[in-house]
Amino acid sequence: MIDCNQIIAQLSDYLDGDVSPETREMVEKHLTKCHRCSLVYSTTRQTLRIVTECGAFVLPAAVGTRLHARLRELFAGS
Amino acid sequence: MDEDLVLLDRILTGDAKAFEELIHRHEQRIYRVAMGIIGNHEDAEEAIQQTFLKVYQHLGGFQRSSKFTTWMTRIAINEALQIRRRRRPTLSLDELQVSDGGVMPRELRDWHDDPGKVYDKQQIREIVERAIQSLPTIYREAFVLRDVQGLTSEEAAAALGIGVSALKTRLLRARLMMREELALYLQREPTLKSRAALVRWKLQDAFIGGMRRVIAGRKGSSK
Repeated sequence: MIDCNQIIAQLSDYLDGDVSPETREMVEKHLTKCHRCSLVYSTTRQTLRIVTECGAFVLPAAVGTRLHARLRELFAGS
Repeated sequence: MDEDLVLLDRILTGDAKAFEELIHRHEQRIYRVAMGIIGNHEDAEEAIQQTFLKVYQHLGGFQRSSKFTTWMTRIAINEALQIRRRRRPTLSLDELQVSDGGVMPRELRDWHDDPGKVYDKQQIREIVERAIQSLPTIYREAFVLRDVQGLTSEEAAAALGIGVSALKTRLLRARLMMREELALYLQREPTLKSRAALVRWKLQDAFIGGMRRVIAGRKGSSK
């Protein structure tokens, strides 16, 4: 009998498509029956989508300018 | 031919402009790596400067059989780790702890289908960045390298000097922690945290609007 902990332990690899066909089948079968795990799966997938789409940690323009100026200075002196 | 390699050849013949181009191509990637490991802007800035300096100094030794971005990312990770060690010689127990217990997530309510209807893009980015920064270090670095930076599990594990299975354990926990943190903002029922954030953004907007009016008023009266 598969329990929810076993499914959650596979969740990350399942999201990455990094599981064997047997594991995939086991996870998918469980997700159709278990509302709790299905919700965790869909919201974790949504989390990854939001993180990818939002473009976190954009280099601030001032940091870019300082970086170029500093390196130019270093190379001029070398 | 790979554009990085073309730039490398130009740099090796003394073309300084080519190095500027190389920095432009990769500065964003390196900044994300540094933020993931260090977690604050000031030290991340130092890390990217050191990274490009090291890249320049060791360019001649780069083995073209490996990918340039992987080589450079590894330098960035080493620089960031060194800076982190200098700032905090030891990680707290809390940060090192990888519990073997169950990882069953707590927050189980439904989310908004489209968060863009509740928050604007800037607000969503702020929520995500705060959530990433709230992760304990070992989870944050795994998450940023893998899910923000897009390295493979093998590349991220090699870069951090850990095994792939340890990387995957940390990644699972990091993803579930991120999910719980985002749930505080994105579930259909408002939470204390989502309400507080909306109030904070309203106050910020009002403050910025007020400052703009004051500045505009001063400019107008000085004419």
